[in-house]
Amino acid sequence: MDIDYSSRYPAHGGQVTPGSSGAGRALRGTAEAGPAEGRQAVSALYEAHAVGLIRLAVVMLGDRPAAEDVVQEAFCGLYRRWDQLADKGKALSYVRSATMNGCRSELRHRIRNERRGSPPAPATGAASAEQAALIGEEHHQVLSALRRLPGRQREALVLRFYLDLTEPEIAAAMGISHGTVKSTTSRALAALARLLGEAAR
Amino acid sequence: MTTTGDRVRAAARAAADTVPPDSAPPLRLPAPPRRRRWRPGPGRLPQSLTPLAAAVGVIAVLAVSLALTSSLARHRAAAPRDRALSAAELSGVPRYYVALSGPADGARSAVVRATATGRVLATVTPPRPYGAFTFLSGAADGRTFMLAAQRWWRIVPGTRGVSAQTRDNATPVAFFLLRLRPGVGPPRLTALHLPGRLLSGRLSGIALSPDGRTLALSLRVAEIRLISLEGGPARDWAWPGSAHSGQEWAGNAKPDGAPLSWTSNGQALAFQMWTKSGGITQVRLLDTRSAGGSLLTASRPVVTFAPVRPGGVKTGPVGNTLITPDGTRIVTVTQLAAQPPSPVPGGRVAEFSVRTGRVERIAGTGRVVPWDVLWTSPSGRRLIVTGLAGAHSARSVLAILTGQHVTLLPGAPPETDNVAW
Repeated sequence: MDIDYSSRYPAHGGQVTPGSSGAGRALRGTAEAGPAEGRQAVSALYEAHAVGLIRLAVVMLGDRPAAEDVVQEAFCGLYRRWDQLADKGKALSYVRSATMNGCRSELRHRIRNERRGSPPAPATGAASAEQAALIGEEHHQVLSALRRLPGRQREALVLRFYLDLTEPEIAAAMGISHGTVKSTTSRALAALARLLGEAAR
Repeated sequence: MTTTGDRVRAAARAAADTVPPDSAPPLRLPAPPRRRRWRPGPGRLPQSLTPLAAAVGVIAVLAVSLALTSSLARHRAAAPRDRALSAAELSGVPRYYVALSGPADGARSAVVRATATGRVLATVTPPRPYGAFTFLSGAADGRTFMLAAQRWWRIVPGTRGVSAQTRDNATPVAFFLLRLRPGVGPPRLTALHLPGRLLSGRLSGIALSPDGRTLALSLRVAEIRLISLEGGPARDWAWPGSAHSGQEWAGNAKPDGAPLSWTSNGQALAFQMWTKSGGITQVRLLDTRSAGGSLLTASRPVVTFAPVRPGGVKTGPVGNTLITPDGTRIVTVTQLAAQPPSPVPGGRVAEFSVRTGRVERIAGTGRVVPWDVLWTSPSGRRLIVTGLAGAHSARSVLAILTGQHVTLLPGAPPETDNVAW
């Protein structure tokens, strides 16, 4: 027996009306789509891809609440610009880029805070032990080293090895040339191997 | 040979796997942008009234500003504002919790709240003929909760007398699975049809396993029952002789709290052993892989407390005794004598080693007088406690403890006894 209590649940953007599931179907709207259609389409896209994007942000940030906030903000941004989005089929690319940008901002914010002497970011502080317990010491070490890389190198590695994107796709996602992707990835791997070697010693 | 790239791939996937499917929080989109429409003709003010309208507008703005200023000043003087917690403060803490709410002797509903803000996201009432949810417990995914319900609330001993107390100890208990579906829709309540008929007076606590597949029940007098939600017969362990002597029992003596807790691998279940005069005297670990039978032989003691001295201060735990999911510690609140002029007895959050049975750490609780531990992170580094704070320790609060650091959760519900993350 399933009992829904929808009348007691506050309305939020995540609600999907029957028959509207599936981001592709919802994204066939036109540029003149009204706010209601935009809301529905963005909600459907969220339903289909939120977990994947949160996972991506968790890999980048090492912190689930921050990852969820970044993804939430990315979808809110998409919704605000929905009417201006000429090609609705590229909404997922847009929101993925927005998520990566959000992660970059969050990491910059953390660095600024650390310089000001604020408590360390959760990924390197209190949460480390929990993370290590959940994902294993070996993986935790690799992720810690990954987060010590410069932002662009880290992004290139995550896009290449976590999302398995091709070099042209990475170039498009990061807004850099194909050649720069190659050199960045290669430098990032070398730097990571060095950091992991130091950790092992 | 494993390359650095392979290591990155494996580590990234392991980190990503910590986010379970269907676990995205609700999407909260901003209100749609308002489109300003210029309405020519009849909608416009006549030109002669324009100066008057402007004057009225200025007066209105001034009045609102004055009212807001004085209201804000009063508000600031009265109490600090609750604020949403930052990502760093909430790190590792589940995003939602469920609290049972309502009068002790009346209808009790389950209220879903956001941990960061305390905002009520949903209120779920038990379907008829059930009138009250009585126990709740959460799985490790932060989205799945088990609720026990009965027809009327079991009267708390001592408040309504024996006859009232027995009034609703004879109706069957029903179990419901509450599944939060953030980003998808409202929470879903599903009635479960579990083997056996259980009368409400026998139930004294429940604990859903971290994977959400097994339900542990604490039954009076001293019995623990495990029920697989995927089917199959229930397994029971009973403390020998307890049904006859009534001197000791497993689980809890009060109709609140969480007397049972699981390790993350589901292989051990921590439970409390009580004696009639001594309160909680032991925390024991039940090996959940054993076939059922004697609770004495299938479990081992991990922490032993001194019994309450006659007329003395209770030194043992006052409420929950949670095992950390990694199975290394028991976290609990132990009571201290009241320090005059405060009439409220103190409490401290203590962590006991499962290996040695000794206190390993006392957590700092700042100005919060802790009353119970409600949630623990995998290793016990972060805890959520309920307690009293404010002038004369009169306000119930929920707080995150991280080492010696205390963070109050905003918008705590008025009742904080039955809360699960």
